[in-house]
Amino acid sequence: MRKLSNTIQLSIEGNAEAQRELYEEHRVYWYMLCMRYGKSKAQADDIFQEGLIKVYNDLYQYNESKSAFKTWSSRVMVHAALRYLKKYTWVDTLSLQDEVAYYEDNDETVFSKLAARELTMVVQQLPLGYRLVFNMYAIEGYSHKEISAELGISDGTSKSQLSKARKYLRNKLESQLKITSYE
Amino acid sequence: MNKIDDFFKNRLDVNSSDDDWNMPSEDMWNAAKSQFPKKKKRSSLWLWFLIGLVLSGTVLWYNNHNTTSDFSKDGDKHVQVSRKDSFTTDNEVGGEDIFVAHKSLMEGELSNELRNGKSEIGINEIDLKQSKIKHSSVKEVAKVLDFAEYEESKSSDYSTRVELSGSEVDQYPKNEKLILNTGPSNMYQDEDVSERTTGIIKELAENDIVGVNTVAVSKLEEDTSLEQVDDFISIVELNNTLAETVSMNESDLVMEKKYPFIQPKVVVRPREEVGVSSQLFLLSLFNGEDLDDSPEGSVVFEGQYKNVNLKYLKWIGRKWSIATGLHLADLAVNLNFDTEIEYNEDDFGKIIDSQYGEAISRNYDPNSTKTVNLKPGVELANGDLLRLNGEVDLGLKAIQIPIILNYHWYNKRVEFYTGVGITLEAIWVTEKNGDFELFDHGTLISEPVNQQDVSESYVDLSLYTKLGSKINLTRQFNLDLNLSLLVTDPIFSGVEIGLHYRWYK
Repeated sequence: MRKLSNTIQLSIEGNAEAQRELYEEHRVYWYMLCMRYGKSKAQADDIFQEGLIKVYNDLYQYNESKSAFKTWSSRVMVHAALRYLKKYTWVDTLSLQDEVAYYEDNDETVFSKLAARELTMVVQQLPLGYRLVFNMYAIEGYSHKEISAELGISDGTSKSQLSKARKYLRNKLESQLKITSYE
Repeated sequence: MNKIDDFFKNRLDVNSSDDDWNMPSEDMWNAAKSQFPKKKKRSSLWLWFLIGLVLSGTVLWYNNHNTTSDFSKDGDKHVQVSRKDSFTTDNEVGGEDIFVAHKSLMEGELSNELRNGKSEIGINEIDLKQSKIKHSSVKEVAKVLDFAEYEESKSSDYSTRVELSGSEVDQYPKNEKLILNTGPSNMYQDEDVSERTTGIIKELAENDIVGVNTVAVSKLEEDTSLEQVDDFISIVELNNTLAETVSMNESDLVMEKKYPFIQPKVVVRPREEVGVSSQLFLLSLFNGEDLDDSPEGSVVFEGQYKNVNLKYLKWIGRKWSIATGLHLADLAVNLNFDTEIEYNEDDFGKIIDSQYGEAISRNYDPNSTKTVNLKPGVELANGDLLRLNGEVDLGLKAIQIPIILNYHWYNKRVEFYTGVGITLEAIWVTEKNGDFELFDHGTLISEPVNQQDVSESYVDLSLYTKLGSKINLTRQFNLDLNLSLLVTDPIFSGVEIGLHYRWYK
């Protein structure tokens, strides 16, 4: 196994073997990210494909000293996702300014039985605005300022969307667990 | 961070797969990888290598046929067989000098021998530097060749210029010249020069060193009736079957009776040429072409280019031709650009526009102005450096009718030419899926800018220059390799290869 920096360098130079190696190392991570941003598998596939092309074509911009490759590539994937969603499914959801109280959740244990697959499906069911903000904030670690810049919304809207997303997710998970327990 | 956030992050931000539900299909990899950066195309390197090889071969071939060989029998007899030094015909026409013209005449009489592998002009001059040849001897050459008049002028110690005119040379252009390099006139007298000459030529002939065409220099006896003539030059074309002895007698001055081909009666000159060619690649389509000054900027073309050119050339002089034809080109390019721009509040749209225009070259409406909306909250100051990143699919179809004036210079099998002219172009352009984004330190700051698809056509004139060479494969067919530069429409500049058929006068 090559060092990641070597693999990246060779990939930039067009070495197919290195490109494949880089892909195999990160494909699950990238694909899961795409599944969270898309509403369906078909959308996730499209985003993944576009993101993949973008990642490899922009590899030369990656600066090892500034960030980890995983962080950088996830940002590129997120951009690809946003670009895709803007093109095909952008709705006004994002611009809705709706102040709600922040929802705090302290009960993690009830959800622990749910696996990544189910959780991904739950995230996919989030309305677009909630989904984007939740993914960017909770999973990818964007700040509200960054989210507002990326999505063209205010900080307040970003926080509001996040709060709603959390509430939505909690409700979904609870109902999911109920269904599971009845079964 | 909220606990529910942590909960999701811990379970979703993973890089493992248990039952392949989160494993992308191979189809997606296969579809995407075709658009990844490719290894630098070696084909262009190979092509340059091939061109280099051909050129090197040409130079070597040329040198080989011009190498001065020393055939000295003994130390004090310095006899050279050389192409350049002794006798040069400046009447080179169509890559063949005057003797080739003779050869074509000779073919009727000497066809078998001449064609029999020996018809190549290998060595066709012998310079006997010891022989003292005076300008007066040139007079006799002129007589032998039935040149009614001549003029002489010393361009060097070794040459005497003879202007041809008179009945036998009427077919020559007026300023056609035959140069006889006769050696320094003040070299020592050698009474025995004719004997030595005979011996040398015999030896050359016996050893197959002398090919078909040989210019032999011999010496008249002192008591020759030709006044003031010490030496004379007879021009004899030999082949292995004929070249036994070069006669040294005055009677043999009338060799044209025996070998009519001695006299240059026909000038061979290209008349017309037709051909078909194709551009191997466009200079602008080199992968990874970097048109941007900034260190990270790039404009990357990836595309397909199809081209076929029908050619017609007509010679309007010995070295001049007019070329025209019909060129058909079809270019499909995916262009990906990443360039640095400096923010300026007053003409921000124009800057974007000009950068976009530069990136997509000719296929750009100079009157359009891109409206770029920055994301809310983004604040920029004049002078901020931003990155403009985007892509667009370009289609370019062209029909071109060039008219080019070419100047040719010949060198046996290889002919070189350079040309300049204009090309009338009808161009159809499409620009699709145009999309670009602005980044400030890696952060997207613009709203999506999706360029509308563009489709337009126009007719234009472009200045055209060419530099090329033709390798004569046979007398009629030649392989043409040239570099075409369209000065005002550089996207069509490239290296072209073609096969041409030529008619002679």
